[in-house]
Amino acid sequence: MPLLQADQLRVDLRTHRGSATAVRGVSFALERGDTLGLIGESGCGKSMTALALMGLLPDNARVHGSLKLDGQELVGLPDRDWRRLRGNRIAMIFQEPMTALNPVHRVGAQIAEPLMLHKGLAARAARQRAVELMARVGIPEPARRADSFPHQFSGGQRQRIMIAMALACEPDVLIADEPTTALDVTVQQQILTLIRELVAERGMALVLISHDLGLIAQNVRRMLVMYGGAVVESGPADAVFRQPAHPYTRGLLAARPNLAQRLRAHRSDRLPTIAGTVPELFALPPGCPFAGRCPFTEHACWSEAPPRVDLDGAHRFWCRRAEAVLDAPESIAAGA
Amino acid sequence: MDKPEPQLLLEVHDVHKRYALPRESLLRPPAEVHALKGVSLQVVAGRSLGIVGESGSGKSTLARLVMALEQPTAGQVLLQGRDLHALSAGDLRAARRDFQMVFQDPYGSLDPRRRVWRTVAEPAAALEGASRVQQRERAAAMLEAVGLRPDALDKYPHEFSGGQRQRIAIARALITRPKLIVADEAVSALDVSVQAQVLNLMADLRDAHGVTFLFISHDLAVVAHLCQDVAVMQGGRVVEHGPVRQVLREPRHPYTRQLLDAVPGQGVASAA
Repeated sequence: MPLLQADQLRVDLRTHRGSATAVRGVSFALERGDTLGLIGESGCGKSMTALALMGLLPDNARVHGSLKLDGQELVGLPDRDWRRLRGNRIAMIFQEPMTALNPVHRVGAQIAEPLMLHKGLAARAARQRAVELMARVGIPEPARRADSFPHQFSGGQRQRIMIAMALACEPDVLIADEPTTALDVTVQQQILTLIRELVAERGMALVLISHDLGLIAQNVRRMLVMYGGAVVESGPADAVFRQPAHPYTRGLLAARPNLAQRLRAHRSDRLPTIAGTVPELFALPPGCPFAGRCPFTEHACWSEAPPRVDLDGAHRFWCRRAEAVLDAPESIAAGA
Repeated sequence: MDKPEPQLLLEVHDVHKRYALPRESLLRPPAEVHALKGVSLQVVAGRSLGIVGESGSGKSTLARLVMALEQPTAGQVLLQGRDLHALSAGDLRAARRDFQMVFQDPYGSLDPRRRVWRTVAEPAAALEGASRVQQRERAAAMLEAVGLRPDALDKYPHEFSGGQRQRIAIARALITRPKLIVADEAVSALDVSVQAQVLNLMADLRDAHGVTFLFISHDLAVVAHLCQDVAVMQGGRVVEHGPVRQVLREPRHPYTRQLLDAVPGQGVASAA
């Protein structure tokens, strides 16, 4: 039995403009020690998926499908039971550590809070544990710094404190939603290395959500590419990066400026772009969400859900025009 | 074929900038931040310069000094040979025709209550007192140059996506036909596919309209893509400066090397 299993997870949002589907059937299974990346651009549904995994969706959202932790169904779980899981068995690292930490409480107390709440530790024991956690995530002089407030730390240190908080109860699943977007590139690497070490050391499962292709390539074993709320391609990260199959994935990979290429070319070429813009959730075609922007679109793509196409070694994508797409050179498939 | 003499567009001479922090005690002088510690740079017309560095390295302070939005504590900023900070208010206004700025956040930098044509035409209206009809015509031409449809003129910013808004901000910067555009993290907030569109637009403007960019970013790959030269800043100083390909191939300063290593998934070392 997988540790965490999502099966056709769907999120519908009721809004004043009618109902929209923000996540259209996401499925995956995670074992302990697994690392899974969710990649996509704004509005692709990756953060909604993360909130669904945490039971933190807004009130106007409805979840369908199944999400199981150790076999226990989480879809439709009452709030009270979610509270027992969150921060305890499933924990999350948010994008902006300055807004996610409480500015008026000392960080030591914030790290200790879930330990007292979930594990029933006494205040002194919880604080002792908080100091140990701060040491583990690389805060110098943790015993003294536990009494500091969030604003007294740098951005990278705050994100380390967020990680210490998320780890406090030794969760089974760690969800990191754009954990380093607000940080400088050199600090980014330190934080991701820390997260990777901790995941390996504690046998957690990691779900890493990012719009940054390079970051996903370096930090996860498997990945899902999302577009318009749907998974359009999934598989081992190295396979997806080596041979991207879906026209959207190809377009995304090609659109990124490349240093190695720049070194070879005297003047930079134009970057291949994806035609059109991301449609609004309300305006997504019922068939393939990428229909219309994709150079291979045919009539049926608009109305019928794309079939799954299996490639080597659990690498798969969802496309009605798979043969034509796979025959075409990658540069054409990018839609430039 | 005669090659014209390279024209020196921008010179920054040993510029320092100190900011006073809020006073903590009445009895002590307020603490200071030394944001720029003697920066010297040159930008030649037609060779865009990228500035990379982390937050706190002084790159945005430099941008504000080059735009004459702030005075340097010491040193000079010369635009086409004229000391920007020695100009009278009227002369500075007139000089602003030649240099414009594009900001990071396309959501915060456009007035939400104004129709797009007014936002785009504003620099021309302010500098040249163009008539309403002229303003609309020129705004339409600029919107076309950045790839937006003419019906954008009468819309409001909220009707556009992030990438389209950044195009509007660029159209606004272009309307005075500037020689230099200072872009401070202008594509950082955009998605990868949108970022590619805006970078292509900037490259077209560089090639077709002869615009030179001072392009500030924390993203080395983006800077390298658009610019011919690059300056690496750290702690208020320029620690490395040179042609992009040379700096990428043989980074001299350890910090440049560190930045290169931090660009994930690009395999620079193996390609070099």
